[in-house]
Amino acid sequence: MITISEDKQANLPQDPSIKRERSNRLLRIGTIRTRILITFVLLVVIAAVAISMVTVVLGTRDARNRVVDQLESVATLKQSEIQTWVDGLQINLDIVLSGQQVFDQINTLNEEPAGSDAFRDAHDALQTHFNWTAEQMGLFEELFLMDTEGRVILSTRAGQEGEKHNIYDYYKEGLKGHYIQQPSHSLSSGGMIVVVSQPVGDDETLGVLAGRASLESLNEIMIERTGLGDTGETYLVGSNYRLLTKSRFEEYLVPETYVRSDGTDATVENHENGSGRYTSYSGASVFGVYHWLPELQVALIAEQEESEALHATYMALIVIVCVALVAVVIAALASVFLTRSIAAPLADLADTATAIAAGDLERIAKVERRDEVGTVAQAFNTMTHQLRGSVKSLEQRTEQLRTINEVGRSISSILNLDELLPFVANSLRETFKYHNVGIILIDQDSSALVLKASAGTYEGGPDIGTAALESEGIASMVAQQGESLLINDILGDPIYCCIEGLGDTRSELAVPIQIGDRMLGVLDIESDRINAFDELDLFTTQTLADQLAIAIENARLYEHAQELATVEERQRLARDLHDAVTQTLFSASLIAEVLPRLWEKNPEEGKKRLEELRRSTRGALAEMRMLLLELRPAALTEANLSELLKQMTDAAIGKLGIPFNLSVEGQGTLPTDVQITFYRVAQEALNNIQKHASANEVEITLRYQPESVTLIISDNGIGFDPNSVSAEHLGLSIMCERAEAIGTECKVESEIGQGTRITVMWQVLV
Amino acid sequence: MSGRFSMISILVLAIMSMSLLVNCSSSDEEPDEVTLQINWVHEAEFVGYYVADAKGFYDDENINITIAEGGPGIQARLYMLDGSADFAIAAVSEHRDLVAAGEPAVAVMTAFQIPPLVMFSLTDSGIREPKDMVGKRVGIKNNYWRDVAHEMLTNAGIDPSEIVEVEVEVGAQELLYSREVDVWMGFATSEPIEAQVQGYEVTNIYAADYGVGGYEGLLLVNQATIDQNPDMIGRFVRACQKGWQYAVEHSDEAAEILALWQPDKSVEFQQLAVRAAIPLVDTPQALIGWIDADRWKQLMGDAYSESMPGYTMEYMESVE
Repeated sequence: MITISEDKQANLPQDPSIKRERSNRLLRIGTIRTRILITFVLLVVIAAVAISMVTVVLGTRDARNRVVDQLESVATLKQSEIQTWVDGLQINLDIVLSGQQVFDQINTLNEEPAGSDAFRDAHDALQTHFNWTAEQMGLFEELFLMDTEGRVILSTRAGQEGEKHNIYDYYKEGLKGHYIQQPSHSLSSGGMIVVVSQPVGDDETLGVLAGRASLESLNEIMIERTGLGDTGETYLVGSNYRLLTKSRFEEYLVPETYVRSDGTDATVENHENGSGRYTSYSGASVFGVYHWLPELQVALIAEQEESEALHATYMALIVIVCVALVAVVIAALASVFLTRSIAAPLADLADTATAIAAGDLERIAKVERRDEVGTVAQAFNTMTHQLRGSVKSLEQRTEQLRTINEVGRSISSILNLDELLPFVANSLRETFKYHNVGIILIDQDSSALVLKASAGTYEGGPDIGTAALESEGIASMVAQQGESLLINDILGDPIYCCIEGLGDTRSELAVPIQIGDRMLGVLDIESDRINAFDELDLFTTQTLADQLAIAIENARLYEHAQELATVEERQRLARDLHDAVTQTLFSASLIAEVLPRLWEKNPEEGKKRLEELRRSTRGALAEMRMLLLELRPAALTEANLSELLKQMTDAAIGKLGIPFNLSVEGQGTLPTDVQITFYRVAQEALNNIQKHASANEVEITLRYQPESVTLIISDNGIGFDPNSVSAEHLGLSIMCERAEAIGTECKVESEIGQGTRITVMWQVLV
Repeated sequence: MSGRFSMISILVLAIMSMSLLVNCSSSDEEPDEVTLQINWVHEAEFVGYYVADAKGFYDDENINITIAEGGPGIQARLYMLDGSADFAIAAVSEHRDLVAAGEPAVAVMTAFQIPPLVMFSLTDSGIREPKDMVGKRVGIKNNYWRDVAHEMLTNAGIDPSEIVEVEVEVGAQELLYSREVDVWMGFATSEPIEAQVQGYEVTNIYAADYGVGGYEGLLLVNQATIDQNPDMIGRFVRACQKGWQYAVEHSDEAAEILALWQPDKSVEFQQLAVRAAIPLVDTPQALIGWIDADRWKQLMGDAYSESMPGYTMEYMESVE
């Protein structure tokens, strides 16, 4: 059995939602516990249902057969009793006619005229005989004798003699032999009766003897209990579907009740015997057996309600269902017990795996069983242990890479070696907790190894020393060979050269700082522990050394570039001063020199030269301002564009002496990049005018509009053919590229002899 | 492909047209307007016809029936003979006279297998059979009932002169309750029920038990109608027989239907009336409405002739 160890369990979250989640998981379909539970329960349920169904089907069939057999027996018994009763009626008629004397008297009645003494004597004697016999038998309500014409010549019931019954079947059939008429309703008694008849006489027919018998006896036969339960009954139905004997229900009366059912349809309609399950006249579902009694022309029905007939089966079914339910419960409990012993360890193992997957690598599973599950848990713990190691190593590597990246990024941003090298030394020591870090570079002039920066116990220690590249020691060896050197126990290494103040150093790692084949120096790491460095440290240090090499090279290149830029700027200023201001001032000085003498000779010409002197000095002043602007580019964005253009035109006027008409329409400010672009375009255009245009008038228009700002510079100079003159020659290409780069439109229009017009327009962004 | 489609379309159209024609021919045929003239006021002895109407059996046979009420002095059979009615209800004795007179009246079915004619008394009077009537006062409504009474008494061996005949009005049954008369006469489906509903226990003495009467409630039709529209007669008889069959098998429902025709009587009255009619209408020996040839000859007596028997079972034979 596997369980989480107690110390780990103490760390388990006790959040109720987690418990709930766990319990929910246990009930999920996909869990082993649930599947085992479902399988067990299903097996039992299927078995229980199958057994129940088979039992029900077989039980129902057996019960039905049993009920039908029982009903059949009852029906047969009743039929037999009815037959006995019918036979009794006919036997009793025979008894009435027994004895020669009776025949003689009947013969007398036939032969002697009515009213004669002989007739009267015979009639009285027979009347007495009939009355006595009927009374003794107790079967007949009336015995009556008909002559050969069907006329009643004697009856036990008063008022019947003289009636002609020759149309009735009991007379017509009675002439032929024993006959029983189907039951009919008796008006006089209100009940149901049958009439039996038979011929009188052996060789010669003297008449027909008939007897009316109540069906009360059949009623008793029918309602006699026969073990058909509370709902069982037997009854007779006539050929017109009318109920002939009493129903067990009071509301169904004889003779007004008609019985229409599958049973009566089969018997009355088709004169068939049979059985079946159908709806009886009371509306209940019954099992019924039906017999057709041809002699009486009636149907004998024996029925029992299905609910009672199948009661035992239903009870058995209930018992089976209960047993099945108990079995299902037992199966569920057994499966719960079984799944607990199997699935619970797996569930705990799954919990542990889930926790580990969530990042808790310290979780372990407790092994308490020696079975397959225990083996799995053990293997799981082993795997977890290995995973922990891997993850830890990976994390360290990741952290180092991150640190290398950070340090490298910082290194690349420092272009001053005096800042760079101490920063790298300190960063390495602080970040990787190294004991000592030293950066030793090869001096470019002396080729000696110079300790340029250090961190750790180097600080406050002896001065950073210098050593010849060929001297002994780890740094020299690395610098010469260009390969890293890792010594995890320097005391035991002969090449180690103890430096004073580093007596506690036990391990050392030195990697070359080089670009390609060019050696720049050595990055040296020391530790006060034996075996302090491993391959990861070597990788880290080497990676940083490579980055450091690039940074050192960058810093040196930058330093060199700075020096070159300073020299170039000085040269440009000198050229500008010579080309612009110096020339102007030189001409101004010449004018100033000749002005006194000229003024004396020709004052008008003096005034003219004085004005020229003023224009020159003013232009020089504007040119100086322009140069100052170039020396301090920030001024380009601080001043308004119209002011910049004013200075530019002033300088041009001073230089060329032709009118430069500046017109500013509206006012506003421009984005920095747009303003600089407009300024440079104007500067280039005026340069072109000064050098190539030979113009005598220049128009400069700056127009601020709500949706755009437009600068137009036009001159009336010689112009040029855009198709033959290279735009690049005039600096127009750079001008337009600069304008288009910030999304402005630049258009240069010119024609030979027609001047040039340059338009720059910037659409205000909404 | 299109040819096959067109063939199928034509076939479908043809079938639809034929079915429409068949439907039209069956449903569009005008129903026969049939008048049944009963020979007394609406009451239980005609319940089969009311039920057939209420249950739609006449509609099923495409017959639109009018049941014309009769009453004292109305000779229903004469309406049938003069063409005012298609069918009429008549007593056997009335029909026998018509047959004897050579009238073209033909019975096509009978409502009652056993005549519902009864003499009845209050049970506590002790009069249970004809011989008990000797010296008792018997209410006689008219000659018809006088003949019935005389025949019953004679058959029972009693001289009719031994009873005291009291001339009474139709409906004056109070005389029985007040014991001013001892015996009343009527139909088992009417007068005795009335007494029972009034709370009197009565004893019925059926005429049939003493050989009086045979069938009752004959359904008569004119020979001319038979000649002209035998199909209608067959359908009408079928619907009537069905109505009577339904009435005896569903007595309570029949009583409710009857109450609609005779609203002055309670449903309880009608239930008792219908139940009283059941054993008289439906006997195990014969189909409801059936007329037995031998019995008919006996009933018709001298009036019977083979050439003009006065009845036919041709239409009853078509009843399922």
